[in-house]
Parts: sequence; structure tokens; C-alpha cells
Amino acid sequence: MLILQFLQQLFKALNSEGTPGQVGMGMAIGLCFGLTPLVSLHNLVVLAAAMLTTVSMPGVFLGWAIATPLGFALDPLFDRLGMALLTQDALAPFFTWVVNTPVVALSRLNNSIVLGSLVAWLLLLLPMFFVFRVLVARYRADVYAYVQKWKVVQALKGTRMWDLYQTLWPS
Amino acid sequence: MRYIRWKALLPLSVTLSLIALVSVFFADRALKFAVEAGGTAAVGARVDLARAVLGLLDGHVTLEGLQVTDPNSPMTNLVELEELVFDVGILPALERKVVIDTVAARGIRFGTPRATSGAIPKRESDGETSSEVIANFKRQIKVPPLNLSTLTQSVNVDAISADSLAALRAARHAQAYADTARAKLLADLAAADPRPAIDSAEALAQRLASANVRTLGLAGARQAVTDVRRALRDLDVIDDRLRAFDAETRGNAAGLQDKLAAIPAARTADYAYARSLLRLPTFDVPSVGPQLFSDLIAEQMAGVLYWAHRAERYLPPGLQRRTQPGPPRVRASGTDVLFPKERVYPKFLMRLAELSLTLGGEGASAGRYDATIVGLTSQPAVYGAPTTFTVSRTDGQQGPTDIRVAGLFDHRSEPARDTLSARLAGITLPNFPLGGLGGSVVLGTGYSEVRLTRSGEQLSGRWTWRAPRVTWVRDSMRPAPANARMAFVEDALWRAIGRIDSVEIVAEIGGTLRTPTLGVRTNVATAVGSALREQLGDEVRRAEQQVRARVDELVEAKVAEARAAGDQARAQVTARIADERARLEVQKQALEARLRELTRIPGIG
Repeated sequence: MLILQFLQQLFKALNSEGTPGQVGMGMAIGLCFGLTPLVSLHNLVVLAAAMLTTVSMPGVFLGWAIATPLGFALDPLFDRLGMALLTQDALAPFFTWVVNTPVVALSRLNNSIVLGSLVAWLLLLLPMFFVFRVLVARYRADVYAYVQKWKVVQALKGTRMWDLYQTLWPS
Repeated sequence: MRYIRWKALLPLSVTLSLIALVSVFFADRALKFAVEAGGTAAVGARVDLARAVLGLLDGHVTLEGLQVTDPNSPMTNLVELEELVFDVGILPALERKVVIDTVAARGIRFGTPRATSGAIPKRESDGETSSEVIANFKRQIKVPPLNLSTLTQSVNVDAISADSLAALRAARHAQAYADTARAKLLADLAAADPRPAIDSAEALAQRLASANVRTLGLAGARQAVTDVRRALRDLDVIDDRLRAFDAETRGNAAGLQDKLAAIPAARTADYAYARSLLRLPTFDVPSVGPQLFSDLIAEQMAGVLYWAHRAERYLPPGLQRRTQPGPPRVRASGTDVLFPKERVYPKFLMRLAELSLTLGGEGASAGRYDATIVGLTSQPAVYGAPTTFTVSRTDGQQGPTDIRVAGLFDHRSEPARDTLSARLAGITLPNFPLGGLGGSVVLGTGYSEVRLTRSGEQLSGRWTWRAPRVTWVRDSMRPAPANARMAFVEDALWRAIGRIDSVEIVAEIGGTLRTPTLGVRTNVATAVGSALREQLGDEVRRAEQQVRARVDELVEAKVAEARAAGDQARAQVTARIADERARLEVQKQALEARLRELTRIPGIG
């Protein structure tokens, strides 16, 4: 079911009405939910930004789905990056302000994983936007029609399971 | 192209509201989890909570069914509370800080049994746990109990190993020093061989012995004066060098004397070491006290010091950046880095807790208790004031007539200072087993006073137990002594201590938590020491003499060898230097005489 859900997200995002740029930015933003610990204050801000801008929401969900396993795998790297930043003397006044300021302190930016993953995502945001935009454009131009002809896709679409799934979660 | 999706405002608001609702719904569970996790980490044993209720609007936090495990007894609760209500500051909560203004407690009970064990497994990241530190403390402070059995055994001096004797090592070291110094000086003398220069001076003196201005001519006489002066200068240089060798020899001799002078002290230590191998009982009162009581005193002290160690760990001094494990989550927890700062809220602060409770009934614990805790915080330097606490008991139906406990944790800066003073009158004192004597003293009701100070690593304290009416209980299940002599001695000891009605035990603790020292003064030790001296004095003295004789036998020969080696080295080198200097002096005088003659010639001087 998870795989079907993922495939549905994938097709929904790639074939939605949004431009490749909107889908690409949605996916790049969605990475944040997977790369950084989900229950974090900054994710509320990112969610608000995603909803209030015209980026593709299916793209956001697709980015999230892609990044979730990556987030687990990259935690050791985020930990090291976060610790490296948190132990920089030059940044100490900033973090002192962060942990002693109402509401801002709730962001938990003094946690190595939260900080490391957030910084990593911010660094990846623009490069991944461009990469995703190119991939989506190429997909729409070359791959979509080709994939529709796959026997496995046609077979999948012909199953009762697919009908049931479409009824419950229409694409 | 539009970039803002205004129509998403409503769904966003709904989403955020849903998230807020879910957060509120799970807040109680999160609080329960936080209290259990934080409490467990701080106590070093499980802290369980039945229910937590977070009143977001009024800032009330209610904890129900709180059980704190005794870290030293995992099947017992240190304290159990039916209900604990806090007033928590809302503004600090927005900084992820817990600031408790007031506390009210209900249904406090101590030492209740637990259904499951409250022990927690040690994590590798924990490093040295408080329990390990305290176990090490107890190991160091405990001394072997009084042992009478060795007295009736023949003294086996062969057990004294020569390799273990410090005096022997010192003697060998002194001998090696003398040999090395001699070899070096002789080598240096050989390298700076004065003989060629002295021989050359001698040859010059002989050549000029019969010479005069007629045989030499004026120019030859002038050249001879120059040669003599040069030879004299060379001899002076050699003389200086020989004097330096002489001084060095004297220095080495002094060094050797120092090394030999250290041997008697090492030998005294060897006597004590050899004596300890035989485990002879001591009559020395300061030694008898710890032998009798160190076991129980170590246990009692360790209980207090455990909490001092926890305080050191969880109430760290100073404003330095600190790290702690991040929150548990499905993903990695990471590390939280704390950035303390003055004049802000600390991470945890309980400004004031005034607890009053009355235990009903007629039992020894019945009565009214008052406890006050002021300024309990996890960041003392941020809070800027020490943590103080007091506990007192009044209106006791029976049992303790007076309990007063006061303490202070001053961890604002290094070194952290903790003080505890407790005075408990009319309490049931612990039964002290008598180490090695096969019995115990039941102290009964009495008085106990503790004063303990820890400043950084340094410990200093005194624990006094005073019992006016004691009972001596001899262990009837203990196997009878191996022979009649030992049984006689033991009986004599029991007769001696059986005459004591009141007991005072004063334990003095010092040193550091990791290398503590314990001194015990007690009238029991005085009685035991006197009885032992009376019964066993001659036997112990004889055994000691044998031990000393064996140590002397092993050490004496080597010390004599070392001394002889030193003397021989000094004599050899000194004689060699004296010979060379005598020859040199002769040639010097001869050359000076010739110089005087030559310089009397007109036109030469």
C-alpha cells in the first residue's frame, strides 16, 4: 500500500497542473519535512510557506516521501555538521540568543540533529530546486507517454485494487 | 504569475489549529514522559509517574502517583507522592524552560516497596556512574576487620619477599648511582688526560734547568720565558679542571649520602609492609576504630555522597557551554548544547517549595514534618544563588524528639561547594557489626549528628553517633575459634567491651571522593586496644621483632654494599685526582722558579 501511495504521489506530482518550476520548488521544500526531525517548529513555518505560495503541494509531499529515508540515513552526518556549528565560538552569541528567547527557543536549534539537518536542507534548497525542475521537465517531455505504454502500468491500472484505490484516494 | 495562494489561508489556519489541538492532546503524555526521563537521569534509578496533567491556561501542573526509586535499593521507593501540584511560569515555558513558583504535595511516603525493579541499565555514554564512584569510595574506605586468627599461627617470615622491600630497592639504586658516578668520572678523567701537558712541562723544566743567557742567547731566553709562561697557563687550566673533578666527586658523594639517608625511612615502611603480611592485630586505637566500624560507616557515608555526586553532575557550576543527550525520538537524538547566560531563566528552577506533612498514628515516624527547598535549579550560575534546603520534625508522638537537616549546594562557580548538617536526637541508631569480633553492638536510641562539606574534590566531615545505653550481642552462630588460645583472647575482648554502657563513635572523613580517608574515634576502640595489649602484647611484639629481623637481614647486606661501593668510588677518584695534582704542582713550582731566574736577566723581564 505504501508503494502504491508513493507511486500515486509521484504521478500526481509529476502530472499536475503546476509548472516544472512549481513542482521542483515544491519537491525541494518538501525535502525539509523528511530531512529534518518532523516535530520541529521550523517545519510549521515551512508548511505555512508551502501552503501560502503557489508551489505544487503534491510536489511537497513527493519531496517529503523521497527525503524521509534519507533523513534517517544521514542523521550521523547532520549530527556532525550541527555539532561543528554549535561549538563555533563565533556563533555562540547567536545560539545563546536562540535558546534564551521566547518562542525562538522552541525551535530546538541547539540540538545537533535539528540544526545540522536544517542547515543541510537550506544549503540544498536551491540546487535541488534546479535539479528537480529539470527532471520534471524532462519527464513530461520524454518519459510520461513512454511509461503509460508499459504493460505493467496498464496491467496495474486494470486491476480491481487500482479501481478501489482510485475510489478511496482519487488522483 | 501569482506567487501567493491567498485561498490557502483558511486551510493553513485549520491545519495549524489541528496541530495545536493534537499538541494539547499529547501534552500530558509528553510531560509524563519528560518527568520520567529527566527524573530517571537525575536520580540514577527509575522515576515512574501514573499521570501528568498540564493546565495550559492556568499554568498548573499536576503529577499523580510519582514514584522515585531508591538507587541503592531498586525494589524500594525513596519517596512516593500521591499528588504534586506546581505553578509553572508560562513565559519561561516559551523558552523551553521550567520555572516552578510554588509546589504543593499530598500523600508523601518514604521507603515504600515497588512492584518492579527500578534499576536502570548503564549506558556506555554515561561514563563513570555515581554508583560506580560510590562503590569505589566504599572499597577505598573499608579496611579489613580485626583478625585474631594469625596470632595463634607461627610467624612465617619467608613470606616477606626481598623484591617487595623498598629499602632494598633504595640500596640497589644507591649502589648503581655510585658505580655510574665512578665510571663517568674516571672516563672524564681519561678523556681530559692531564699527563701529556704535565710531561711536556716537566721536559721544559728539565731543558731549562741548566740553561742561562749565555747558552740561550737573548732571543733564546725571551723564547724560553714565553714557553714557560704558556706551559704555566696550560697547567693552570688543567689544575682548574682537576679541581672541578674534585668538586664533582664531592657532589656525587653528597648525592650518594642523600640516597643512603633515605634508606631508614624506606626500611620503616618495609617493617609496616612486612607486618601487614602477617596480619597482626594492632593495639593502636586510631587503627582499631576503622577495623571495627569502617564497613557500616562506609555504607552510611556513601548514601550521602551519592547525592553529592549526582548534584555535581546535574547542577554543574559555571556558565560554560555544556552538552547533554538530545530528546529521545525515532530518529537519532543528537546532542543538545546549552548556552547558559546570566540574568535569564535557567533550564529548570524551583524557586520555593514549602512542604508540610503530618504522618498520623503512634509509630516512630508519626509527627509533623516541614521541608523547605529554595532555588533548586539545573543551572546555578544562571540563577545566581545557592540551593538550600531544610527538613525538620516536630510533634513526634514517639521516636525522634528532634530532627533538623539543613543543606546547601553552592554550584555557582568552581569549586562547587556542598554542605550538609543534620542533627537527629532520640532516633533508633543502626546496629554496628563489630568487624572481626563476631558480634554487634545494638546502639538503641541515641543521637546522631552529621556535618559534611565538599568543596570541589575535597571532602571533610564528621559523623557522630552517641548511644547512652547499648547492648552487646555476640554471634552465637559463629564457628568457635580454631584453638583455645584464640577463644581465650576473644573471650577477654568480649569481657572488656561488655563493660561499656555508653558508646560514642566519631567518624572523621577527609581526602577526596575518589581517594577518601577515614578516621574513627570511639571508646570501643580504646577498650579493644587495651584488652588486646593486655592479652596479646608479648606475642605481637615477638612477631614484630621477627619481622624486623627478617627485613634487616634482607636489607642490611645490600646497604653495606652500596655504602662500600660509594666509599670505594670516592677513594679511587680522589686518589687519582690527588696524584695528578701533586705532579702538576711540582712541575708548576719548577717552572715558576725558572721563570723567576730568567726574568731577572736585564732586557728579558
